[in-house]
Amino acid sequence: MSGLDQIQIDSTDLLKKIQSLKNNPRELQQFIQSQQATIYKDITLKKDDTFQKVYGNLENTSGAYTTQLTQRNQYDKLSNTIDSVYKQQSEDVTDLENTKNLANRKYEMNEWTIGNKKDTLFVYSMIFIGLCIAILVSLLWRMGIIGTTLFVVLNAPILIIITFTIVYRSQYTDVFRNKRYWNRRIFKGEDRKIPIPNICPGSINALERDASSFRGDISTDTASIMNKVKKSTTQSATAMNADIVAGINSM
Amino acid sequence: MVSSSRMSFCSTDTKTLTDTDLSSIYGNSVNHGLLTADPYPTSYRDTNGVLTNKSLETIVKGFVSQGVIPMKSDEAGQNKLQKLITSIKEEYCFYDTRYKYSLQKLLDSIQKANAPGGEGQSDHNVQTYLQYTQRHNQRINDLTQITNAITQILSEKTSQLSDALQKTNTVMLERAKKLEYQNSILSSHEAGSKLNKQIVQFTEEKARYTNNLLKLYSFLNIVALGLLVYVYRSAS
Repeated sequence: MSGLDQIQIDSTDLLKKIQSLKNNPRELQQFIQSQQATIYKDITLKKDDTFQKVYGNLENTSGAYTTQLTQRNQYDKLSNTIDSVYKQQSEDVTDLENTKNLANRKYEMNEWTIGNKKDTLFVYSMIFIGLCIAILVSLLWRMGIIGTTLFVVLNAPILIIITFTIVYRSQYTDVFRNKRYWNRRIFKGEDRKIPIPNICPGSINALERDASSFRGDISTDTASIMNKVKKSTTQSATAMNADIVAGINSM
Repeated sequence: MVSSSRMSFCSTDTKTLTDTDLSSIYGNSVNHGLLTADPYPTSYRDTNGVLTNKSLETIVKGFVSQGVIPMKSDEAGQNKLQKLITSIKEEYCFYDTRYKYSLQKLLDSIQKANAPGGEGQSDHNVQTYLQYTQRHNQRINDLTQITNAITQILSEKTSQLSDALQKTNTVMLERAKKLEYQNSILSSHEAGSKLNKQIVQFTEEKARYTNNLLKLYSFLNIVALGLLVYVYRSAS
């Protein structure tokens, strides 16, 4: 019986039993039937057990798989919700940063404008004081208390000072004053600037470039200075030689 | 016919079967079984007649590509998987009852053939029932192996899903940390933004104050200038 399960049967006992029952066909028949029933039961039980185990594993695994799928769907939904909240919050933070920067800039602009207005106020008040003095002096001159010369001598300096102040102030604000901060000045000079480190991305490379270019500039300047010194030394030596020769020839 | 004292996995009774049922195949035009009408060829089996791992892999991959084993994560996919599991049990029970019937018949025919006065029973019956028993036994074994292979695939998919869930969980935790950080920025900047607003309002007030002074001094200058002109004209 190939392909059927192997059932362990004690063949020696079985033969003995069959031999003993040979003379009693009925009992032999009953014995064979009971053996047959046992074999049938063992085979079918083993088959059922095996598939029950396998099927049980399948049910458990599919349950776990379904649970994981459900969990993944829930996680996906949660992840989408978190993403949308994150996006919204990122926008809020960006808006907040922009508002802060805008407020800072507006403050700077207002401060500059106020400084400018105060400066103008100073000039206006100076003009007012000058006018008041001019009115007083004119009144005195009209009343004949002071002469024309004194009148001119008193009014002219006031006029010059006021004019000079207006011109200087306007030039200073237009040329030298920092356009962003009222209290700062722009310095324009002939000297070489100190290289400011670049803090933007790639700053290390930029730093190295700046440092190497600065080194290059120094070495170039040093070389040119040395050349100049050499040149002047050579020239003075040649001149000295010429003088000595001229001296000798004159002797 | 002997019935086991323990509850059988399949509830179908073999008493309702006849010999014609032994050649029937599970499934109809709507519901197909996992096993084909013809048994798998011997090239798929080893020396014991059991399906090899390679052939099982091929068979199960074929099921996946045909959509018999659903891999989709939606509700329809999950329902299909449940139906597949139920159908596997039905198919097993279908062949199991036929196997038990043919085995019983085989043992009965062997007994009759060897009983005294039973020489008339031909070996033909024994051979017939033996063939049926072997065939159904092979089908049951194949089905058990295929079920096991499906379980392994589902187990692999489950562990892959578990890994994916772990990664998603990690990403979500990072996002939660970022959200917490952003929240701290937002809450800390609330006071700052109010202060900035008030600073801007203060500078606007200062500017208005200065404007008023400018207007005043402009007026005074105009008046003083007019007075000067008047005094100068009256003097001349």
